[in-house]
Amino acid sequence: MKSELKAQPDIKVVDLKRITTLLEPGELGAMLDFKVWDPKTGVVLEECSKKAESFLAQFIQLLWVKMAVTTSFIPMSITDITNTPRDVANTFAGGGQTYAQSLFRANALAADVAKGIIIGSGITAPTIDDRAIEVIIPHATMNYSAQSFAAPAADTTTSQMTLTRNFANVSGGSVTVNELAVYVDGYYTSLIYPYTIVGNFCIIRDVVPGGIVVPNGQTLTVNYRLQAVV
Amino acid sequence: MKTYLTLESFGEGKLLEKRTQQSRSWLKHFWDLFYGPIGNLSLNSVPDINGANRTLDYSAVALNLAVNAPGGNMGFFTNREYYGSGAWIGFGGLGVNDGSNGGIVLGTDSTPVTPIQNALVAKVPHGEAAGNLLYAGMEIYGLAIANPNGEFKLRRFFSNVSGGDITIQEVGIYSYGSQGYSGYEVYTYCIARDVVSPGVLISNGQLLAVTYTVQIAV
Repeated sequence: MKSELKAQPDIKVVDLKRITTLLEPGELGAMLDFKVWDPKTGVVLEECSKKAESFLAQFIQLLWVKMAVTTSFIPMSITDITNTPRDVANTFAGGGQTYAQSLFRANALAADVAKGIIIGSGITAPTIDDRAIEVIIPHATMNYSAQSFAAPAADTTTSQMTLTRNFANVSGGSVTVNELAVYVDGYYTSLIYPYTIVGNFCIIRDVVPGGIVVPNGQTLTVNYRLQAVV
Repeated sequence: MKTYLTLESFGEGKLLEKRTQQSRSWLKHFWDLFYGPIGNLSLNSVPDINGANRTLDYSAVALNLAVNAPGGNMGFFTNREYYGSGAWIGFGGLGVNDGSNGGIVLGTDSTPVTPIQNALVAKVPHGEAAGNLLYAGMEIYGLAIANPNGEFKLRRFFSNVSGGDITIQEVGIYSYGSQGYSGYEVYTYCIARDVVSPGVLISNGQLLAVTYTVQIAV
């Protein structure tokens, strides 16, 4: 098994058997791990881990909505992945009923490119106002697996939960992944029954300097390990 | 994301002391309450603030991470997760119908923080008796987004009418989470805890404002 350590100082070889972090004490953020491997042999071509740098405006806005249990009477305007502002809330009123809805769901099924971890080829550095991945790599070029989740765990200083998704290169050629993102859903108001429509929002976008080269027939596994360090 | 904790004490209408420290406080229970919403999954055996293991049900995650506590011993109602009927349900009888069991909370213990903590070590109760503080309602405000930063603030006021001094040495955030299909039972969980050193003295008649500034930077 071959494992490559990239030259960037903030990158190191992944060890998923224990909690590792590059976050500072007091920080809540994410580690971004990726591995390129051969699904037929299990041979790992490249395996790296770096600190995810780029929580976006939509993350802080959705967190507000979640913590405040924002109602549809005073929704938060949040821009979705189509660059359209949406009046997002956690609690809705309509049709003589009041009810709550989910936020932050990333539970994508296979081939779903509107939720979960998303990959792209754009190289523009992230800004807090990014609304979506720059240039998405579509399913069927890289086959998107279902999104999976590892339950929260902790050691003496760090707690984490993990999002994992596999991308299989079925394109017939090499694919370079330069950017990664996490899309989640949230509900916004509607004037017609059931008075809510689900939208999709980008909460994290990262660019990997130099990109991740995935040869044809190989699989890219991406972990976002959401962490907090005390 | 970095979080800053600001404590401001007031007496006779004047600011007596203001200090800000970086919070080191987000605990594993933050992720426990995030796991259901992001994964649409249930999570078993999550201890609430009383140490009782609860199941955070995937069908009722709307309240997870909520900190919208009213003041003091004020009860309040919320609706359960929408799962077809949209019926109302209250918090009554579950131990969370007291506003001081949600949102920012204060305590008097200085034990260092670890990622797995279920509650403050010595929480100051809401009330007017000796050793108590009056808990005001939670506030959320100050959303500001300007590349490369974004932030908002969580704040709560506490007043001392107990007749004596109280020294605050720990600050935390309690959040709600639902147990049972469609959220029939709601309990509270400690998602953040900070130790304040040296402690902050709140004399009788004084007011303390506690603000968490939640901040991201790209």
